[in-house]
Amino acid sequence: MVKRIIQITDKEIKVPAGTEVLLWEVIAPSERGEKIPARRKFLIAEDCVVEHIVIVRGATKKAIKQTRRLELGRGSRLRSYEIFLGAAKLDWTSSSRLADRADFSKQVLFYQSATDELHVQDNYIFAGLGARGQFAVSGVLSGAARARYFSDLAIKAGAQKTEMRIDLKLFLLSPGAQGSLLPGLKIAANDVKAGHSASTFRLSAEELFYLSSRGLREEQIKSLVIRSLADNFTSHLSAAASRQEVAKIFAAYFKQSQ
Amino acid sequence: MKNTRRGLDEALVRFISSEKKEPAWMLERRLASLKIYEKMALPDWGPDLSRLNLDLITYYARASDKPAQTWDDVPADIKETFDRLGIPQAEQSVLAGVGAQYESTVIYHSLKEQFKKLGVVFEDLDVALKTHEELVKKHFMQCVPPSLHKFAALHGAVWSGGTFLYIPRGVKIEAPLQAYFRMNAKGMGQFEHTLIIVEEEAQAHYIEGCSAPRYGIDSLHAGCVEIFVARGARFRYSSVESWSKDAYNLNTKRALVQADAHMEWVGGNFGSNVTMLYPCSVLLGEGASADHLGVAFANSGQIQDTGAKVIHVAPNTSSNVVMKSISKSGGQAIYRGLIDIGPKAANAVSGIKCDALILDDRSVSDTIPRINVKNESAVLAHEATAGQLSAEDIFYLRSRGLSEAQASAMIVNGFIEPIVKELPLEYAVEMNRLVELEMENSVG
Repeated sequence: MVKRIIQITDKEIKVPAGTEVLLWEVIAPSERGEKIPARRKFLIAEDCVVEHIVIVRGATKKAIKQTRRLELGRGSRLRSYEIFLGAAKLDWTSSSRLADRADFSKQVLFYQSATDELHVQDNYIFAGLGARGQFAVSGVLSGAARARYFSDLAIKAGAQKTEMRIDLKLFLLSPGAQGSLLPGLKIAANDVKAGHSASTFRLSAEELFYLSSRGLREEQIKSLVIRSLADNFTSHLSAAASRQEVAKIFAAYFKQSQ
Repeated sequence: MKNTRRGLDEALVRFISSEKKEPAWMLERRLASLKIYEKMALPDWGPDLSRLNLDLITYYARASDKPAQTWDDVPADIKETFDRLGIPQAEQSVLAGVGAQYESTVIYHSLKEQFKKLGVVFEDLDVALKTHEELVKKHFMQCVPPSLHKFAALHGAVWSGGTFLYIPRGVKIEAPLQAYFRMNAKGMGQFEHTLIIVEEEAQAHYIEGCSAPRYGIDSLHAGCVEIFVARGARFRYSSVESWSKDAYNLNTKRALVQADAHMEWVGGNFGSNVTMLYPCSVLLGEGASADHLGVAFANSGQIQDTGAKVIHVAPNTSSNVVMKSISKSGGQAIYRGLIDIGPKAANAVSGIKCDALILDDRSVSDTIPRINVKNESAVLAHEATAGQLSAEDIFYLRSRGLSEAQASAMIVNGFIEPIVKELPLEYAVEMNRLVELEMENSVG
């Protein structure tokens, strides 16, 4: 298989059977007000190997809203990385359907500050035999940001041998931030392995004391938390060029938001 | 047995209130609840309730003229039912007190003399409304307001019977107090109200059992449990609900927990066609805590939509939720939970663990745990897993001479053991037997 890189601008993206591809997608409306498609559809045929990087960056007060649908074909493997960096209002709905033996892993990182609002409804349907899913979501909220990350994972009757797991993690860095998590799981087959978790964290008094004793101020410590999550996220990308590009985007965003 | 007609209107509410010779304020509250009920819609989430025809329910039935104080005074047909349930023996051996309700009316209540002397009150709520009117007036439906949902409003309008338990300050009762509720007529509604007030530094354990025979006509249980746990008190509420499999069990249970107090919910849900039950703890005082432990068994045709709700209002509060569900022969087990950490609940800690066993490819398990966090210092962890019986475990037990059904029942009993061990022995045995009963005719 020959790996191709596709910059996504269309409303519908089709990946033909047996293709290895890197999908690169940046949604970053500027003041000029480019139109963002309200819907986007991804059709990945059988036996593909796909890496999909999605960066949603809200540089303006403009709201971002998109509904996405993904079909992952039989035996295809998809590694997806989604980054949401502050948007005044971001409303994101995603529905993915996995066929037999499809293998989907997704990592999501979001960082919202000031009065940003993020609403995500991220749904998955396991409809075929022996599909696998591994989904990890980490979010950081500061200022008076609000985030709601709801997931609904359904293993349909007959989708035996499915293995899936979703983990949602939320870090609240300021008293005004608020978040809601819902990792919903609906299982209608018995020979499956399924699990989910949701958690919120804070830096413990001991951790803060230790870092303070090393000369770091509280703001610097919080910045370190965000950067370490970003670095960890970036390290999973397969191509060095992707890692560098995403690291640049993170650096530019953090510089701008400080 | 004195049944009223089916269906609900203001005349029936007035009839119930006058039949019970209630004070005027209670009639006013009933009528206010009825108005709310008439305006509210059925929940737009959860199991489908459209098959439940509320016009066919009999909302009130009187079983006996007055509550008996000894078993000899209980009418013979009712006594036979409760004798079979083993209540007299339990009362003599392990219980601090016992109450029993048949249809809409409490038919027996007693409390051991030593606790009466300490100021403990354990009686029929209809009686308490007369003997402790101010206490009842102050607390009744303050924890579960009629506006909470349609069935809370319905309950507020037609409630009948139930338990009033008052534990005075500093009194500690080790032995559990027990109540047993039974619906025996077909198409009945049961709306018992349990009102529990645990004063500062007091401690007690109350346990409820519920059952009904099967008639093939839908019956409705929309009970209500309100618990007020004062500063530094500890209270455990346990229940084993085994309503008939044509009943709708739409029960509401809530506790208000003050500073440094602790509330424990232990529940087993086996019966009913549809269950919607989510015990709730509102942690109002600093240092308050709650444990929620539950088991739900969904067999053929059943929907067990159960869960837990904890609202952290005050700082330094903590909660722990452990739920186990088993679905079999097309049954649907749903965990639906909410953990809400409010803006003032600094340093709140919450742990939620849900495990589901799905015994065949026709059964369903859903987990819907919602988490709202409005304070940055909260530490919260939810973890859930779902799976089937291990073929290796069954093979091992079969090699030791057990049948496949026995092996399955044993594994399921082991699965729910963390919950069962928190129950008094008699109820633990009952829960294990209920599991074995549900596992009959199961294949792997």
